Amino acid sequence: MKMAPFIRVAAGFLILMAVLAVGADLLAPFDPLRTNLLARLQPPVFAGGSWVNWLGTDELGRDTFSRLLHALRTSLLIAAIGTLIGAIIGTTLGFVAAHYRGLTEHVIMAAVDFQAAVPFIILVMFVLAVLGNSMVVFLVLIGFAGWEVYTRLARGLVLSARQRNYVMALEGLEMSWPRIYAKHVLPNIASAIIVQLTLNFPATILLETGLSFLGLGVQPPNTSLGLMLGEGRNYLLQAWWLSVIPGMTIFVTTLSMSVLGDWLRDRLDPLSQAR
Amino acid sequence: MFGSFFLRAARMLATLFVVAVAVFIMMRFSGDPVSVLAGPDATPEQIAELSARWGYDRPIPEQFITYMTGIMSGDFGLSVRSYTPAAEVFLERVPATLLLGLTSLACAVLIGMPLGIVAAVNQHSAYDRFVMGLSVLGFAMPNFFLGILLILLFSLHLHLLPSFGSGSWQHLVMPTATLALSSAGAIARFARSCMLDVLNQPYIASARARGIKGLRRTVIHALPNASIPIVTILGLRFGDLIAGAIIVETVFAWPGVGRLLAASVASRDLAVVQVIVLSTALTMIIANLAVDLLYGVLDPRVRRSAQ
Amino acid sequence: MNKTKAIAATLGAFAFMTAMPVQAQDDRPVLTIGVQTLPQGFDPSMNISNTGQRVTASIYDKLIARAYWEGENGDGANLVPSIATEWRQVSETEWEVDIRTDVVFHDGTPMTVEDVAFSFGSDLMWGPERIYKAGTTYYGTFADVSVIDDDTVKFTTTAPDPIFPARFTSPLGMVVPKAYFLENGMEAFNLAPVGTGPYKLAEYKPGEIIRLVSHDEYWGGLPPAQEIIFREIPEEAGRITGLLNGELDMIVSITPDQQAVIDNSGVATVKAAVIDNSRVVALNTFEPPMDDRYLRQALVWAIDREAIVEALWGGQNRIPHDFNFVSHGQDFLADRPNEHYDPERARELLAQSDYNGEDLIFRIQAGYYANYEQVAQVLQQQWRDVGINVTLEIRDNFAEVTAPGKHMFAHSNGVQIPDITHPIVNIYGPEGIRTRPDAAGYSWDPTPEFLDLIVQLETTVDHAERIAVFEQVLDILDEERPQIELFQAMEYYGIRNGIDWKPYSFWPMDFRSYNLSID
Repeated sequence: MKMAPFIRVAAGFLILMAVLAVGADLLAPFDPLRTNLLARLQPPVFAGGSWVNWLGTDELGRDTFSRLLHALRTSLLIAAIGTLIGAIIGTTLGFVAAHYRGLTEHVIMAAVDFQAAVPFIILVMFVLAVLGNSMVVFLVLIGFAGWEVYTRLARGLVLSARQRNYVMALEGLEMSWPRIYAKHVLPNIASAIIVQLTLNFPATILLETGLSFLGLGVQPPNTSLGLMLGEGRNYLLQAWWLSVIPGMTIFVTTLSMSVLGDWLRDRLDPLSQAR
Repeated sequence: MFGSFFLRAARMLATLFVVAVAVFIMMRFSGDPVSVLAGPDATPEQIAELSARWGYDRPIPEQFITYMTGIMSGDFGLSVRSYTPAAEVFLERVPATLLLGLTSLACAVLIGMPLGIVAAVNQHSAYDRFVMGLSVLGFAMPNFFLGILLILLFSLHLHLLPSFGSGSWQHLVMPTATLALSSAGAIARFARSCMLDVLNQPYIASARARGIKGLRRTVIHALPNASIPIVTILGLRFGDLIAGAIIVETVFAWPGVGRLLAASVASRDLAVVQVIVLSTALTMIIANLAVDLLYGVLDPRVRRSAQ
Repeated sequence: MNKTKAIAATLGAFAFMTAMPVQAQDDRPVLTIGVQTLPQGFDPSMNISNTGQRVTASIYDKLIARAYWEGENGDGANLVPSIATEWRQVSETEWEVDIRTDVVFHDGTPMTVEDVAFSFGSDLMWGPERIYKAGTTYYGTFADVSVIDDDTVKFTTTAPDPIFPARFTSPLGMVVPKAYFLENGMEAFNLAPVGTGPYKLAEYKPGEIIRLVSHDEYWGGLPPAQEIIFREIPEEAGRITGLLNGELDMIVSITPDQQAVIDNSGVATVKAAVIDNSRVVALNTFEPPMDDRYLRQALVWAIDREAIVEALWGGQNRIPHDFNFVSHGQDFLADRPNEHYDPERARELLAQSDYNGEDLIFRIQAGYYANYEQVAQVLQQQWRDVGINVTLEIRDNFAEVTAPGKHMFAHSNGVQIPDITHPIVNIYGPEGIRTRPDAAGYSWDPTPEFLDLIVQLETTVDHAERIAVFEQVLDILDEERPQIELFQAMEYYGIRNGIDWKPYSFWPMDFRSYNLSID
């Protein structure tokens, strides 16, 4: 596959981020929870700080780099699990709708219409207001972000695949329909779903960021990129690095993911070959 | 066409009913809303008094009937914070959000559409790459962070714009810019891909073959057809603007629905949260139906098939 | 088109003409204050939180005032006349209070002794059918309130009440108009308040703005500001920018780390007030291993409150003693020893205990007490350093915080009456919010002897005897250690240069002439 240089940079950056996130425990020089009141708000090394805390420290004297690694892990985990849950639920519902048609399809598509219509963050805020915040509730909620796109996609693709003969032929062999879809339809529509995954992923990171800003996201002492950015915003005038470091991380990660997603779409999705 | 329109409308109304029921179940699911309201320093007497005041001591079916009949007649209960009808609290904030939302949408369209269309016409050029890069920048920047940066730059350092509140066009500039920037990126991308679809159609190629010049070809032949999907997406973008408003209104102290929602969630003012959720759902459903109708008007094929 | 323009021009000119004379004859300034949240209304009992008291202090007067302004740090504890001019004890359980006769409510009706009797009577405050449910917290000792003549009201208490006059300085010490209140009911009154205070409500847009205008007939003389405007600006960066830009005259709720930014601006300075409310860790003595007294004692010696206060508040905050507050005035026991950082002693106590490294659950309500979550993360570290493992759980509301399974939880002790009985009576008294089995914060069962001491404290009249009882109570608390006081709440105000205004050691903001002057 031919890759433009900036695609390589984007892919390289994402791999680096993934490695940092997975290896957070080994790579972090300090315990991310270790407070040091005598070394608060230390600047990073490029702003006159020392190499000990090369990305500086926060308002409780915790090492910014160590916290960044753990935040990266939390955020990427949330985005990955969230996106996957959405993809699985959404795709399954799409299959169900396309298979059963009739009332089932109507109900599922009504839910899709609704989900597409109501801004997701409003639903999330409502659910969090009612159920209270916990990591599990939060993950499940994030997982529901964007499921309707997969449903539409999967349903449309299955309907068109059913026009083609091979599915009909397999149905003649009396295979159970979930197996037919899993073994024969899914691989054919996988590329479209993978493209959608890469587009959904940055949106999920940003959703987490926005919720953390509103105090509805990840709760301390856990941390995430969004929470770090949210906490750091009040220190923009004295310690800009506290928000700029997680902010840039979010920005470059999202950017890389989008660039890669666009590229993948051009590669894999024959329908949008022209784009 | 009208048959399918009514089918859609009925489906939407059914959805709305299901949402209303879901909202009620969720609210009961939360266990005891009263202890949440009362806060850490309340005595058991105060908690019992609040429970009676808000009717949480009644049997669940009775509460449900009260709730549903309330919704039907536009009575969503009282805000537990201000002791005034939740619907009133909500309606008071609607104009500010509409003003911000519509201005932002207009700005986003005015910026995003031309950028996207020109990018499509010049596909694969440096300009195209630049616009696409810029559009990602627009939505990869968390908007509360952008908002705070704007405040520090334009209010604190340059003294050009007021940092908070509403009331004049100057107040509108920064919140609009913050909201419009992320939306403009998405609109530019969408406009570009719609335009590309049209530009690759055979009739454009034939126009090219007939020797119709680039600009004329774009404006007269391609644009009207590309505008159809673009109009439909605007209905959906409006929902995104409401979502963005929650954060942007908080940053700029803009007295709209978004701020109200954030504050009501924080203080568990469930009556108000519920009005906002149901009203937003209703609004978006109407907007989608309107978009469907508009689509029919704009697209001759849909119009013809309906006849 | 032309017609519309003409109408607009006429309207504009009209607005200009009507606005002009007011401004021409009134050169008092308009004060605009940026706050993080506006209250949801103005009824004293419904808006008892910090955001409410900030505003209601200007709308109402208390029967008897606490002279906060006399203290160097705005923490004076003397009682001075307000609506009441004099008060005297006429028998062991009877007090007579003289009432001003020159007071006018915001709606123009004169205030009478009837209004005072209603404001502290059984219908509103302490009867079984009382309107203000929380009234008994402050006036539960009352037996009768009756009018004697045009300027005297007699109060009867159920038992000798040494702190009787101080009760009226509580957040529910305000005089409300009887007829207006009863006619409209509490909820309507909440949105259209009428008081006797120096400023009256002119405009209220929830979540946006509260505009108070001068009550020119104020009994205390013409108020120093023409208008007081509170604007809601949730983001701290927005408030600071507004202050430094001159859009705002004052701002509240600034984090200590922002002080330098404002002080160095040359246009505004920060004034900080230590608030009569200590943030505490309530220890759940019922949940093993927290039932072990030595473990509870070890927890307090293991933490370095001096370092926390130095780092997070630049040393401006105070390390609280348990229930022994500076706001108790002359009765503050300054010499009483206080626990300090001593990790060795903590380890010794821990060795004496049965604690075996179990995980202790420490629950905190998200965003409720300013700075608490940060402090808790430092505490977690300091406890780990002596070998105590603590897990923080941030929860959304107090019901979840106090759900079973917690070993400790975030709570607060606020002095609402400047007397040694407060806040101990409300917290660990017989009806206290941490001793009543039906209260969410129930976490300690004091011995009957302890509860008896609390009752003695409330009813003992002799001063020396009261102090002796108080010391006994404090000794038991030190030994039993059902809580750890961490730090005092603080409020940081950013104030434009040229405004002379003193913050108090509690939430009200006082804009009366003795506390506000503007160049």
